[in-house]
Amino acid sequence: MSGFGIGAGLRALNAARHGMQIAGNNVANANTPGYSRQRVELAAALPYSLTLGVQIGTGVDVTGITRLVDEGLERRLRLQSSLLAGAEVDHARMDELEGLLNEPDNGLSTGLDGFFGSIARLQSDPSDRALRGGVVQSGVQLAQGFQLLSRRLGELGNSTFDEVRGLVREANQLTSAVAELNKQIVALEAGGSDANDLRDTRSQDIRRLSELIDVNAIERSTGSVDVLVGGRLAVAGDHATAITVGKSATATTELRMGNSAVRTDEGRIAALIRNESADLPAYDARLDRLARNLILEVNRRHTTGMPRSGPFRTLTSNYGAVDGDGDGQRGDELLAQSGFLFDVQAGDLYVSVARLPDGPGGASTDLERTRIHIEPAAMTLQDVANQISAIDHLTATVDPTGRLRVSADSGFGFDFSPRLDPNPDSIGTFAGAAPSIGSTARGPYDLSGQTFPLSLTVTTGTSTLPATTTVTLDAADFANPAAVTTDELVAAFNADLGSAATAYAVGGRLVVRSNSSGATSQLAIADVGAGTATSALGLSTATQTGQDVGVAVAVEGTFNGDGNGQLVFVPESDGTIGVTPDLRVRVLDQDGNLVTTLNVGAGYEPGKAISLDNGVSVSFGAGTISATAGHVFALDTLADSDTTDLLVALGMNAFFQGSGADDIVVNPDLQANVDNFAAAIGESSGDAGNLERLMSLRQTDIADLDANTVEDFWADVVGDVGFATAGALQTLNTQDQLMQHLESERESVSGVNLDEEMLDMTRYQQSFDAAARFLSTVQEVTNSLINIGR
Amino acid sequence: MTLRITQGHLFARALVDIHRSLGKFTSLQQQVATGRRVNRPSDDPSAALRIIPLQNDLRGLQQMSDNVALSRETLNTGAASLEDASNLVQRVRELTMQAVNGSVDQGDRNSIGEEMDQLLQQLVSIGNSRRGDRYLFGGTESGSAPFELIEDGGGTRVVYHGNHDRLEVEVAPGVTTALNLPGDAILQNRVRGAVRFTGDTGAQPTGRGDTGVGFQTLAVTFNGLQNAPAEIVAGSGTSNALGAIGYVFTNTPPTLSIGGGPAQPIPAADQDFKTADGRVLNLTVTGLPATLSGTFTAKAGLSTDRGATIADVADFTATAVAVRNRFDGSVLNVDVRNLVTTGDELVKHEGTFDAFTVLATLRDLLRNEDGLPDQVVRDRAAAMLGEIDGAHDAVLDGLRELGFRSSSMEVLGNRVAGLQLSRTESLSALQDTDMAAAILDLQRQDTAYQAALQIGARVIQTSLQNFLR
Repeated sequence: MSGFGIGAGLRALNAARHGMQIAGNNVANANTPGYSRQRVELAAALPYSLTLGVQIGTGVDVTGITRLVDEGLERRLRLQSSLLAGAEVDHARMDELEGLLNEPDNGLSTGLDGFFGSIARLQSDPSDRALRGGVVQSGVQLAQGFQLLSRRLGELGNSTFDEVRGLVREANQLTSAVAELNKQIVALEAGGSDANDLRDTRSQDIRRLSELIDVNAIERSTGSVDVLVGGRLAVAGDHATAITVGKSATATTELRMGNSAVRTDEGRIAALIRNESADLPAYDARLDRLARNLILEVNRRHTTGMPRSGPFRTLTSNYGAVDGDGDGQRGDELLAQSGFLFDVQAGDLYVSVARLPDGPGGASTDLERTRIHIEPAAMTLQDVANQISAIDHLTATVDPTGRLRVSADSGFGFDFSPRLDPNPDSIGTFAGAAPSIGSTARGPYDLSGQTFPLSLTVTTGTSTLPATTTVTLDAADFANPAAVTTDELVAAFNADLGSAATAYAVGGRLVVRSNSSGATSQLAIADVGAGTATSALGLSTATQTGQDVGVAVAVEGTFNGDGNGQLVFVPESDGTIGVTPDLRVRVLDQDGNLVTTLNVGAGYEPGKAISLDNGVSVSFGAGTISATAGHVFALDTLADSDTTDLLVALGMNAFFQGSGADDIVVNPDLQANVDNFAAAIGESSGDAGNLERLMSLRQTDIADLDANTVEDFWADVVGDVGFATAGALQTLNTQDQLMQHLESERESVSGVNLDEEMLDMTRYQQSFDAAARFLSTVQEVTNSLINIGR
Repeated sequence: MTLRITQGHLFARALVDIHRSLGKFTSLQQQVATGRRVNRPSDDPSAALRIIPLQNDLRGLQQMSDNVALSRETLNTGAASLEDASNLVQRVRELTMQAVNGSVDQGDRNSIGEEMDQLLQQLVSIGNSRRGDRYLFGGTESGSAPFELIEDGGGTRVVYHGNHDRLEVEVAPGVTTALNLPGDAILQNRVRGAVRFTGDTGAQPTGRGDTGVGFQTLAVTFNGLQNAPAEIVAGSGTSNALGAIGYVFTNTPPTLSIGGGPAQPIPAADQDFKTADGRVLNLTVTGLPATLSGTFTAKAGLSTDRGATIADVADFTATAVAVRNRFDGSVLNVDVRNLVTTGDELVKHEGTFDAFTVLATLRDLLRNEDGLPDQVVRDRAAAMLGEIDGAHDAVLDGLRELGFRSSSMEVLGNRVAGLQLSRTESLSALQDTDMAAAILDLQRQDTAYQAALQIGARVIQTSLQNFLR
């Protein structure tokens, strides 16, 4: 009877002691991260029956120590950790990218503005050498800005692999730790205990892992937790599979387990990989697109400009054709397959050759312009060189490195500029000093009604000393006698004319001009026999005489129209410039349509400039013109003297070299000598024609830049980065707040409140005191019982 | 269960609040220190999108403002040069008045002529005015001197080597102006009026197709015989009869009379034969032709370049004979239907002035190397006064235009300045910190921060332990 109290008392002491110990443990671990407070579970001990129907309690049992944790909350916390860590990385990367851009103070937009600004300054004084140097210098700085930004973007991307590798090492340490803990927990709980502290540690490890990679943790009935990464088991029981880093097929970082790729969507690693494979490349591509278009557009204008030194004597391209077919020969591949950085389009290239002035400060004379038609799918670079060599006074070769080299004969120069020919009638077929007879209609001509061989006599010399030459046209001279081209006729005539006269194709018409000038020189063309070639060709049979001085035709100005064409000038009737009333000159376009008529009769002052609406002005000197004699001259009006971009692709007289943001540089020739900068289109020292074209680039919407100007396109990119960075910050703040909310919920469930523990400790302490007192009482009672028999 | 608050919770909250407070504090501090609200695009992305174009705009406006200043400077330099030219022409007028004065003798005229020469050189160098190393009056040929003084067989003339192209710069949005001027328009004006011949050869102007500037001298000379019988040839003496000349021979005694004039005995060598109206043909007649009467033509030779190029006139019904000047390439069309005698015609192309030629002609006139009589020199000098005034008017017109352009530059400059101001304001509104507001915010934030710290400290420190005994 009396022995039973001691048991209850001892149990009570035990329970109180455990209670205090748990409270002490909670207090000690109040600041341990991931700690869940523990609570002692007490239950009344099993009673025993005193008599039938009377039960007496036997004290208290400690049935267990529970860990207060909400597993659902834990899962949500793990997910939020992934989200938050990912958002941190996103923001950090965008912040760094924004820093690299260095806008709006000293970034690429400042470089672009500096470039255009320097061109505007040069416009005010095109002959100033220092300002010209300024343009080249600002180009250099702009190119450096592009290259620097491109390199830094690359470095940022490349650092991803190393960063991910470091994180993966950490992740593998964590999975190993989790596996080890699984083993220990299973062993411990198999023996019936609660492995509370170990579970806390394991939970904390999995949370840290979820910051790196989004994981799925599933608890088994044995108490071990399986951790899945991307659906694959990283931890299964006590076994952990290592995660490795590798490069994907597109050379971006990827995670692997074993040999196959593992997918991760949230967490630090996923954010880094996303940044490397999607975000950075997108910005890099836009930067590259900007650089490429800038190079293309600036070079289009610069290659067709005129440097300060005037037409070129020799010019070598910066780039060469690639030896595509491996035969050791360069330049024999089709242009479309020659490995140029920019595509060559089908179109026309206009090459101008002029006689250079004798001394400095003069203008070149005798400008001849040749149109070369280029088909990149059917022509090789050597074909182009051959066509250039076919032009008088020019030689073009393809050197062993595949570059095109063009040289002019001594005393001559060439250029690709669209400038107007200041003396379009240098041959003298428009009322020149030498007599000329031209066809009154353009080719092709119909000679189908004639019998071949067809002969004409050309009489030259003077009236007192005539000389006759016979020109014979054979059917073999013409591809199609019903549509005989002017060029075929010119060739056929010149084969027979000798030194007395020369045939030319002017404005699409056949013109025969005597080679001796003066008022006594004469020219007449007549049919031989029954032929009617003269009327079929529209040639007058009347005798023409020359003049002492031909009508001087001068052209000034710059063509400001669209498209390339030719203006053909023919007199409307016969008369003397400035004297004959109602004398007019008709201006036709290249298809023969009338553009306008110019009044050059009475009331017109010879030599005075008449302006046409397209920026061209023409003046006619004194003299006699004749419509019946078929006087004519033609003026090429070019808006774009290279519609093929061949000069850009080859890099001939280019401003920039390279094709993207990583290799854009200013042509070293320009850096070496700023006089090579082509500010002009014509030859005047103050000509700023090309500067105007370059400045207009600033306002031009470029199709490949989403119809933006270069500066607007870059401003868009900067704006996008700004928005993305601000957005990332916003997301980060939101995730952070969500995290705080979840954390405080967890604190609420599992956190230690020191005051609470204090109260518990006091309670258990009092309980202990009471139990101790009870035990004393039991002991006294027992003593009394023992001392009864004494 | 109601929400449990733990110490951990309290600490965490306190930390969060302190960080947030400090964060706001730092960003405000940066705004105040840099004066900028937007230091990076992410500070305000939509503002950043507008800031970059505004900055570029401002720089463009600055360039325009510079161009306006440059333009005014150029115009002012040009105006200064033209003022010099104007004063020079005034001086020329004074000197001419002096020369016209009857009391001046050849020696004085010589020294006046020398001063004219100096003034001519000076005028050329005014035309070649420079700004820095750029020539002002040559169009876009600003690298080489536009006016070249040439003294050769054709006399003295000044050739314009410049062009008429414009060097356009932007001085206001959408407005461009030319920074250069074509000098020939001011100093070699070509607004053509009528042509006048002053002389008595009978040659008439046509007024069409002439390209000469200012005035020229048309020399009409005897250029041989055409369709004359073989027995009549031109002699070596001077002839001044031109045109169709009738001849009548008499058999006995053998005489010849031309143009209704007195009969002279023949054969004769280098003999002057007079016509009825007093013109003279110096002929050598060797005998009697088959036909005793008929008409031959005394051809004329027309030249404006002192005989370097002679236009031969055999057909005296022509209404427009083109006479070319080899040296300046000009063409003068002459109506020869009334041309009867040799001599000089002073040709004046009204409305066109070449200031240089005026000076050159005056100089040559005063030097009087041809030995013309005093009165002729004085008369011609007096006739030149009109030319001088014309040249002066041209220079004054040029000055007026420059002045007008300069004042419109001023207007444009103000407009650009106004635009700059409004852009700067817009930019500032977007980009700059409102200092007053930011500093107030800073102080407020500071107070909030301190309050957070204080209260946090209070809450954290209190615990049950303080009260349990």
